[in-house]
Amino acid sequence: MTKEDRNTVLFVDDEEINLFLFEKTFEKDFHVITASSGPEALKKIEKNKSDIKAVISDMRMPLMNGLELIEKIKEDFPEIRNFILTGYGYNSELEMALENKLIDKLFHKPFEPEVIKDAIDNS
Amino acid sequence: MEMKPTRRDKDQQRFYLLLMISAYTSTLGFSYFYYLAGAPNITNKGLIAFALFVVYGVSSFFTQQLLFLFRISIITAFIAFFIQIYCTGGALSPAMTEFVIPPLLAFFYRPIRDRYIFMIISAIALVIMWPLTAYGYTQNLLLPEFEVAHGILATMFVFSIVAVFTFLFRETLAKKNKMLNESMTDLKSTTKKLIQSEKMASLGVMSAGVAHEINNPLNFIKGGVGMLAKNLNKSDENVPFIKAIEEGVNRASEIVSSLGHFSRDSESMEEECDLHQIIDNCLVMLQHKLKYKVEVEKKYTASKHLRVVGNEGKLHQAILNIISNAEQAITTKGTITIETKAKLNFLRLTITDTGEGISEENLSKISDPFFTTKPSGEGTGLGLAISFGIIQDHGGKISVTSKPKEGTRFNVIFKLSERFK
Repeated sequence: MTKEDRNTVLFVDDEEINLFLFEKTFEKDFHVITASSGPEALKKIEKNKSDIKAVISDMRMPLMNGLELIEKIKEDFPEIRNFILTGYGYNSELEMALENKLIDKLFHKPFEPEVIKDAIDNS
Repeated sequence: MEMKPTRRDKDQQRFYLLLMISAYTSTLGFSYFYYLAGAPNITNKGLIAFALFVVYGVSSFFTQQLLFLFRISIITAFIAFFIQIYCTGGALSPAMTEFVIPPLLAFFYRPIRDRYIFMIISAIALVIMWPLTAYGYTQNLLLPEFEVAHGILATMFVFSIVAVFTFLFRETLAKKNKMLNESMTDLKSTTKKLIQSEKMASLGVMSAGVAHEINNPLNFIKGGVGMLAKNLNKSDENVPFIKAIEEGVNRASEIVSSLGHFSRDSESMEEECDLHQIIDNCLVMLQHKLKYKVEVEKKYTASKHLRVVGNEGKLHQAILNIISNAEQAITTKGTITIETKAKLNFLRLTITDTGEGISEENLSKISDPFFTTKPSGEGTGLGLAISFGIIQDHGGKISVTSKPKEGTRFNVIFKLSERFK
C-alpha cells in the first residue's frame, strides 16, 4: 500500500513510547504522523493540511492540552476529524467537548487498535 | 406568628414559674404573719401584692412575652416596696426580698449568661436589708413582742430565697456543664469524621490522577505486547505468555477504569447509567475484600435496558457503600445475593447478605449520618447515610429489613429511564 491509499492520521502525545507504539501499531492501516506537543502538531498540520484526515491527541500535555489543540485545529481546518485518547476515565470537560461535537469520539488508554481503526475508517 | 417553643423558652418559662410560686408563698406567708401580729393595713398590702402576682400568673397563660410580664412585676413590686417602708415606718420586712429581688433578677434574666449578676444583686439586696430592718427594731418601729417571730420568719424567707436561687443556679450550671461535655465529645468525634471524610475526598482526587498515570504505562505494555504478538506464529510456545500479559493488562485497566467512575467530577443528573455495569464495577472495586470470604450470587434480569437517569459517579458510590456494608456484616463466610428485576417502569435492586444482621433498635438509625456500630476510626457512619441520600436524589426508594444473626436485605426501587424503556 502506498502512502496515498491510506488515511493520514496525526497522533499527538508527550510520551515518546506512546508515539512509537501508535506508529508501529497502525503502520499498515494509516499513514501516521506524530507530534509530541500541541505547537508541534499545529506546525505539522500546516505542512500536510490537505492530507490529514484525523487528529488523535492525548489530553494532558505540557504547553497546550488536547482540547485546546483541537479547538485551534477546528478553527482553521474544520474538515479534519478530531479524537482524544486519554488515560482519564471521565471528565466533564471531555464530556462537554463530545456534546459540542468538538471531538468525534473519546478513546481510552490502554487502547484497542480495532476501536480506533474502525472509528477513523468510518469517520 | 406561631412559633415553636425552644429549649431556651422552656427554661425561661420554668424560671418564671418558680419566681411566681415563691412570690405567692412569700406574700401569703407575709400577710398571714402581719394578720397574726394584728397589723391589718400591712396584711392588706401583702394581699394586694399577692393578688397582683396572681394576675401576672394568670396573664402569663395568654402571652409568651415573659420579659414584658417581668418588667410589669418589677414596677409594681417597687411601688409595693416603698408603700411597705412607709407603712412599717422604715423597717423592711424580710419578705420584701421576694417582692424586689426575683423580678429584678428576672429583668436581667437571659438564661444562663447573666446568672452571676443576679446572684450578686441578690446578695447586695440582702446585705442592705438586714441593717435597715435592724434599724427598724432599734427605733422601736416594730412591736417588740413579735421580734422573735419576725426573726424566725425572716430567716426562713432568706433560706427559701437562697434555696430557690441555688437550685436554679446549680441546675443551670449542671445543664451547662453537660452541654459543654456533650459538645466537646461531639466536636472530637466530628473532627475525627471530618478528617476521615477529607481523606476519602483526597483519595478520590488522587485516584483520578493515579488512574491517568497508570493508564499510560498500561498503554505501553498493551501496545508493546500487541506488536510482539503480531510477530509470533499462532503455534509459537510464547503465545501463552503473551496471553497472560494481555490478561494482566486488561484486568489492571478494568480496575483503574472502575476507580475512575468513583472520582468523576461531573455533577450532572442527566446521565444514562447502566445499573448492571455499575454493580459490576463496584464488585471489581471490592474484589480484594470479597475474594476468599464472600460468595457473590448475581441474579440479573435478562432485560438489557436497565438504565436509570442520574449521576453515574454518585450511583457507584451509593451501591458500593451498600455492598461494602453487606461484606462487613459477614464475619467469616457468607453469601451476598444481588438481584435485579424490571417491571413496567420500575427496577428493583435487592442486595441480600447472610451476615450478622441489624437489631431492630439500630435499624431505624442506619440512615442517620454518623451512626455507626463500628469502633471509632473504622467507620464514619456516613456511608449508608450518603447512599440513602443519593438514592433519594435519584427518585429511588430504599427499604431495609434485617434479622439479627440471619442477615440483611436492602431493597431499592428506581424508576427506569424513559428513553431506554
